[in-house]
Amino acid sequence: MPSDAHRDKEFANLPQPLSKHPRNWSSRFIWIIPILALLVGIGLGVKVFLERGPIITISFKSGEGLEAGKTHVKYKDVIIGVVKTVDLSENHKDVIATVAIDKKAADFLREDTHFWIVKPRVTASGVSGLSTLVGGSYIAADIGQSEEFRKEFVALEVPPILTRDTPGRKFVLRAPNLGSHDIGTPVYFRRLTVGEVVAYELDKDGKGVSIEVFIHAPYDQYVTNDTRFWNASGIDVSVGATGINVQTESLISVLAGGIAFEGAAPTYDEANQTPETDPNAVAAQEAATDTVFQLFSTRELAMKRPDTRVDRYVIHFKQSVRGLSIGAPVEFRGVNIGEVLSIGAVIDPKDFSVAQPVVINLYPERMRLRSMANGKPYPPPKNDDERSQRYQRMVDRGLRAQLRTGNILTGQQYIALDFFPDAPKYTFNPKEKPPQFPSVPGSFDEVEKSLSSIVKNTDKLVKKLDDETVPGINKLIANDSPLQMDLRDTLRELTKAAASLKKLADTLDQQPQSIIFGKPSEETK
Amino acid sequence: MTNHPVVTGVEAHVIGCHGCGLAHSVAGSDHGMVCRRCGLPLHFRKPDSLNRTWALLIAAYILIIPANLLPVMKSSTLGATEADTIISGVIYLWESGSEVLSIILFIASVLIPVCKLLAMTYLLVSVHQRSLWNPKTRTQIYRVLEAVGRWSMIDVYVAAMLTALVQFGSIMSINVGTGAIAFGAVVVLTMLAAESFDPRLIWEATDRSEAAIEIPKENHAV
Repeated sequence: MPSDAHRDKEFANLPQPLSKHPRNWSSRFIWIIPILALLVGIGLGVKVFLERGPIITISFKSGEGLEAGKTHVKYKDVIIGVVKTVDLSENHKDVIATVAIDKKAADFLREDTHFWIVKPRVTASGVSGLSTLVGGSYIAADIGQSEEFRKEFVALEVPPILTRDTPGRKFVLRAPNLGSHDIGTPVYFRRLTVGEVVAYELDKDGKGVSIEVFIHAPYDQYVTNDTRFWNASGIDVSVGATGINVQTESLISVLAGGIAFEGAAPTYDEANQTPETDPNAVAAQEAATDTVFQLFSTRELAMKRPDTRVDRYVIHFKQSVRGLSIGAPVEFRGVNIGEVLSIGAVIDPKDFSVAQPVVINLYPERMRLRSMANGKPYPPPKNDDERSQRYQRMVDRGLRAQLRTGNILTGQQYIALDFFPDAPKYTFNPKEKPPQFPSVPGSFDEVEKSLSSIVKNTDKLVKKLDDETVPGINKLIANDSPLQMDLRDTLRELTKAAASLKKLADTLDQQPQSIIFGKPSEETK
Repeated sequence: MTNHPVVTGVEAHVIGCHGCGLAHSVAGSDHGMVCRRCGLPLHFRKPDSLNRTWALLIAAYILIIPANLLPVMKSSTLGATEADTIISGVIYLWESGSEVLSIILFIASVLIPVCKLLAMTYLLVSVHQRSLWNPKTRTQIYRVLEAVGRWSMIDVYVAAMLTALVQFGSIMSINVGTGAIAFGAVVVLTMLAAESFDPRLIWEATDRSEAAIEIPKENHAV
C-alpha cells in the first residue's frame, strides 16, 4: 500500500488538462424545459376546459342501449355529446344518463329540446334506425325553439316522426275515435303522400281523440280554412239506399290506414254565384298552424256542404220502419235534404196505439240555396216563428213525409217529403220539441190499399151483375117477349124472299133471253 | 484492515476523462478544462447536476397530469369514436377479463412513471439535505431507476403501433391522442433527469462528514 503522500505525489505527476474557453451556457438555461412543460400543460388544460361543454341529465324509461362513455348524442348524425354515466334514479323508476354535451352544442339545451334513443324500428310505413344494429344505439336530439334553457331532460319514449326543422305545418284533427291511425300514418292529398300523423291523444274528457298531422311544405299551402279531412283507412264498404259503395285511397292506406284531405268542392250553384250573391261564401285562406279540423269518417261526409241550419223534426209512422237505418237520407223529390237521426217505438198511453217516432234532421239551406226570389237568393227566416210559418205553409199545401223503398234488392228505405194535396189538414203544435211532422202511409201501403179496393170493387160488380143484368137478360129472351115476335116475323119475311129468288133463278134458267127481251107473253107459250 | 482512508477524485484533484479514461491532475476548478488526449470536457461531477435534474423532474411532474387525463388513443369504429385515457384502458382491460394485461399496463404506464418521479425526488431531496442514511441503498435505487426508464414507454409504443396498423377508413381507425405525446414527454424527461443526476453526490455528504467510513468488505475484496 503506498502512503498518502506518495500517492499525492503520484497524482501530481498526472498530466494537466488543457484549458479551453468554455461555452458560456448559463445553468439557468435548463429551466426553460419545465417552463415549456408548464406552458404546454396549461395550454392543454385550458383547451380541455374551453372545450368542455355543459353536463346534462336525461332520464329514460329503460337503460337499453345506453353505455357509459360510448353512447353518443347526435344531431343530424353529428356527435354533439357522449353519455358519461348511466344510473338509476333515486326512486328506481327511471334511468338517469349523465351526458357531456360539446361546448359548441351548448345552445341545444333549450326547454323544448327533445332527446330520444334511436333503435331499429319496423313500422308499417317503413324501417328506420338500421345503422344502430352495427354501430350501437345512440341518443338523437331535436333542437327546440324555446328561449329558456335547462339541463335536465326527459327522453321521449317514441321518436318523433319529424324534427323541428322539417318545413311544413301541423294541424289538429278532431275525431270521435282513433280508427286505424297510428303515428306515421300517411296523409294523402289527391293520392299523393304529403304528410303523416305525428301524435295523437285522448281528450281530457275522454269523448274524442285529437290527432296531430304534419303536412310537408309545399303541400301545406293546400290546407285551407275550408279543407276537409277524412279517413282513408282501409276499405270502406257502405250499403245505403244508393246501393253498395266501396271506397279506398291506395293499397298502402288499405293496409296501414291513412287520412286524406281536399278542399271543399264548390257546388254547381256556388260556382255560378259571385261572392256578392252568396253571403256565406268565404274566400278560402291558408289555414294557420294548429288549426283544428273535423276528421270525417268518409269522403262523402267530408265533402257535404256544412249545414249551418238544422231543423229537427219527429215523424210518427204507423207502419213498420224495417229497412230504415240511422243516417238514411231524407229526400225531397230526390234531393237529399236531411237524414234520419234516431228510430224508436212509443206507445200512446191513452189508446195504446203504437207509433214509430223517427227523428230527422232537415237542412233547409240545401233547398234555400237554390231558391231565387226576384233574382236574389231567398233570404233565410229571421226567427223561429217565421221558420215555423214557412213550414206550416208548406204543410198546408200538402207537404208530408212518406216511407219509401230506396233499394228493392236490399230493402233499404228512406224518407221522402212530397206534396200530397189530398192529405188531411195538419197544424204544427208549437209546444212540441221537436215538432211532429205529418206523415202519410208509405207507397207500399198504398199499393196494398188500392189492391184491396180493387178486390172490393170486383165484388161489387159481381153482385151488380147478379142482381140486375141477369134478370134483364132472362126477360129479353122469354117466349112472349116482343123481341121473339119480331124475330119470328123477320124470319118469315126472309123465307118469302128466298122463295122469290128461287122463282127468278128458274125463269132465267129456262128463258135466258127474258133478261133482254122481257118475259114472253102467256100466248107465245 | 477495516478502515481505509477515503480518497475521492475530488479530494485528490484527479479527474478521469469520460471519453478515453486518461486521468488528469486538476489543481483548481474543472471549469473549461478539456482532456489532453481526446479533447472531451473534464468534470469532477456531472455539471449543474442538481439544477438540471430538478428542472427536468418538475417538467415531468407537470406533464404527467395531462398524460393521465387526456386520451392517449382515439379509436373510431363505424362512426362511433372512443377516446381512451391510460386509466380507462386499464379499466377496460380489467373489465373485459384480461386482468394480467391490465396489471401489466397499470404497472408499466401508471405505477412506474409515478414511482420514478417520486424516487427521483427523494434522491434529490436527500442530496440537498446531505442525508447520511444508507447511501448504498440510494445508489441502488438510482441504478434501478436508470435501468427501468425506457420500459415505461410501452403505452406509447402500443399507441404508435396501433395507429400505424389500424387504419381501415370508416370501418375502424385508431389515432394517437394528445395524452400519448404528454406521456412520451414524461418518460423522456424522467430518463433525462435520471441521466443528469450524479449519484456521486449521494456520497459527497458522507465524504465530508467523516474523514473515513467503513468500506464494505465485499468492496474491499474486489
